[in-house]
Amino acid sequence: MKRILGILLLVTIIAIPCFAGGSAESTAPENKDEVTFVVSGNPFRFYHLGTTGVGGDDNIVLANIYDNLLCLENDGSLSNALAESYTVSEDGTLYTFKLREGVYFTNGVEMTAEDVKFSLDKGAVGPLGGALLINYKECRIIDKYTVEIELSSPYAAFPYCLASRVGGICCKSYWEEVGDDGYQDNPVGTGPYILSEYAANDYITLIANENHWRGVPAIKKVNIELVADVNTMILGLQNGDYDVMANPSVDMIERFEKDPNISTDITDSTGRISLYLQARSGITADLNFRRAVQYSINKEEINIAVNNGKGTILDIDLCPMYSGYPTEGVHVVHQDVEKAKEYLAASGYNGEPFGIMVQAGTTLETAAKVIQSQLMEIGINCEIEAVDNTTLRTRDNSREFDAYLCDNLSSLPDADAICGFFKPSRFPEPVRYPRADEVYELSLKGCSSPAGEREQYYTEICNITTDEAYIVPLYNGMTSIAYNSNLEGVGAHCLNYYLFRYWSWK
Amino acid sequence: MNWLKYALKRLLMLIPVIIAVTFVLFVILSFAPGDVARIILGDDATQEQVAALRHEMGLDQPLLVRYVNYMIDVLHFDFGTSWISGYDILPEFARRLPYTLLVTTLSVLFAVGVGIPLGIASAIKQHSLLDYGSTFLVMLLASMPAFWLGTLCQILFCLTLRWLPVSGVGSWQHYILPSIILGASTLATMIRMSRTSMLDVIKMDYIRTARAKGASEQKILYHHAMRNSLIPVVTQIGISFAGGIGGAVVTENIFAIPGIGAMLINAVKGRDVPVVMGTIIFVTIIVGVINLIVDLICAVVDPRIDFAA
Repeated sequence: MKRILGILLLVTIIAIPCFAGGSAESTAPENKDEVTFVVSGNPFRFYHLGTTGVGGDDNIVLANIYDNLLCLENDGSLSNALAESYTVSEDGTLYTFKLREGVYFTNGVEMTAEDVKFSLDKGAVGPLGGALLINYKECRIIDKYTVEIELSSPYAAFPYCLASRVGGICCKSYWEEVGDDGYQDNPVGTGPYILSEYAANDYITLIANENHWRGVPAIKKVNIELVADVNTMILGLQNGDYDVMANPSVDMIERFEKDPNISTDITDSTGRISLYLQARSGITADLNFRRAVQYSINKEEINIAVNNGKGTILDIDLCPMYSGYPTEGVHVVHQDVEKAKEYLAASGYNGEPFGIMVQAGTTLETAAKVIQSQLMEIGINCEIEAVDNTTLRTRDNSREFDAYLCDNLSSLPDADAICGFFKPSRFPEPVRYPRADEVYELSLKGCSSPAGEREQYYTEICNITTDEAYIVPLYNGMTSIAYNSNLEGVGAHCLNYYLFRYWSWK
Repeated sequence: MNWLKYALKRLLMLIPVIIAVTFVLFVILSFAPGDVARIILGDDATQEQVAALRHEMGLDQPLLVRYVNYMIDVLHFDFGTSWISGYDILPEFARRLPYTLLVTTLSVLFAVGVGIPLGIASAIKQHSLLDYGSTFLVMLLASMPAFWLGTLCQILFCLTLRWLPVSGVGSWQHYILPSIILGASTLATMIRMSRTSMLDVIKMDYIRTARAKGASEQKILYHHAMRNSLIPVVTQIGISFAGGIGGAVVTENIFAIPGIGAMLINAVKGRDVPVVMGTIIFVTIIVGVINLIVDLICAVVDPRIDFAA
């Protein structure tokens, strides 16, 4: 009898969890002015004018506690923020901004031209200035609510510079009081949210700025949970522990699409996923070999493997959303296995290993494996070097690779982004691309010419990178977001800014 | 006072252990590829800015000088600040340690509370359904990795049944799954060890003698057998507790618990040398102290242990 009871107990224990419960319907939380947002990154720098700069993850907070003169919207377009309006001189070197009046920092100080000048002057000489406030010369105060920004030479993408993370306007008088460290600990901006709490690698709490010039945000409190495990993020979203999840993969998006309680949004990012070939040493110094690689790659196959076919294939190493994107006269290479074999035969290739460096554990590793199989098909002994992010960046800077597959995310959605690899300051001479100077000269022309004229220079640049097979563009990067269906206004941002002020519960 | 001398001796022996562990770790981290200054400043920073930061961080000094400087700072209880996130390591460690200790303690309590009675019962009822059931459970728990078991339990208890939260530390319910997952492998060990140990003891001559002298089965079990059979189990509890602190790295990541395991893994990923070093020093001390406490407890349980010897 005891034995039978024991068996019954065991069966019951096993059976109850298997049949009980079920997926409950998603509901808005009782506290309808709070949102729990789960991210895998680690934002920790809340002040962009310090000596260490800020990174991509920090945008999650920076974009919500500071306002810029201009705002980069989800789709990559610009809108006026602290600038009520602005004009550009004919030669493109002088920007005059009329500032919004009656805007206050969260410490109660009014935002004026003094603060704009302070922020831009300090940002320009900081670690981000060279890359994000390009050609910035000086900012002059015309009156309390008007500033003039002078550039050393025209730069068509300059409005994007002002909307980037270096362009957040800080309070000059507060900085004079607390300095860089104090600003980092207790940041003060004019943005829709205020940093309330922060625990490193744990959580961040933002509360709404009740005096924001746009009006009080609908979500009064945003709890940003920093979670490393992707499965935990997914289950937490499905379970209702989290309301919004940052950047789910395409596979996850498809899974969420079957769940009526979860909505998703996906958009093209400002990143290009491209294969960068070294052209100075080793087998990749041989143009015929580089062309063999270029012609052997089937981008559609990679897109299917990585993005389930949802990505935008790139013909050139520029995203279609970029300002200055050339549409005419560009050379495009499609897969042609026979041609690839001919180039390989003409090269000095003797079967030595050809390495593709890629960040381990990312979708790019999957892309690299597809490329590997395509290259092996034409007889290239391709090896994948999957390394961690730190190693990757160090080896990238010293160009220690045959090929490097990366997501080249650009802070500025402008065609000038292609020039990063060709700037004289980017890589030392021995490892620069042989035609880097030529490309750089063209890029200077491209970024200083007005719309309608500048595209021709980017056409030339793209044709050089294609003809020389320096770069094999693959597909446009994507950003995504998944969220409780009872939320509205949530959208994926091309640069992962997550503008909480648009979010609200239905 | 022999035990006091013994404890002091053991604590002093921790010093060379810490020096050896930190030196090996420092060397490994120093030779790992990657320029931290470049990571902190980003790709957009100039070479001059990177060089200036390297100098500020002391990265341009020889390895031995850096190590000695670091250890001098540690002796002054200055564990430095995180290179990547900028926080002070000592207060951050103090903030996180309670979470790790709580989860580890709960996991050991769970393993001990369930494992020892089950192991002993299996030994007493050898070759019964209970014995076979517990043996099956041991094999199951020992062979399932924590990350997999954790995810399965999250799906079942958090998503399907919605009994428990998926992650975080907001309430007591948050600790149930992490403690069970972290304690799962310890539970398997506890069942196996207490069963084996009890089986060994109950076959000994003095138990047979006690039985022959007419002692009740209950008295034989609780008075004679249990105490002796628990000696190896107590040692195992200490080892499991120390191992649990290490194992928390996985569990804390799965359940998003802001403990020292999560802190360590983030630091390793980012080449955050001061955080890795600081965490390892703390963990080494904690594990050393736990092992010492276990040895002292063993002496209480087993009077045959002589500290003087």
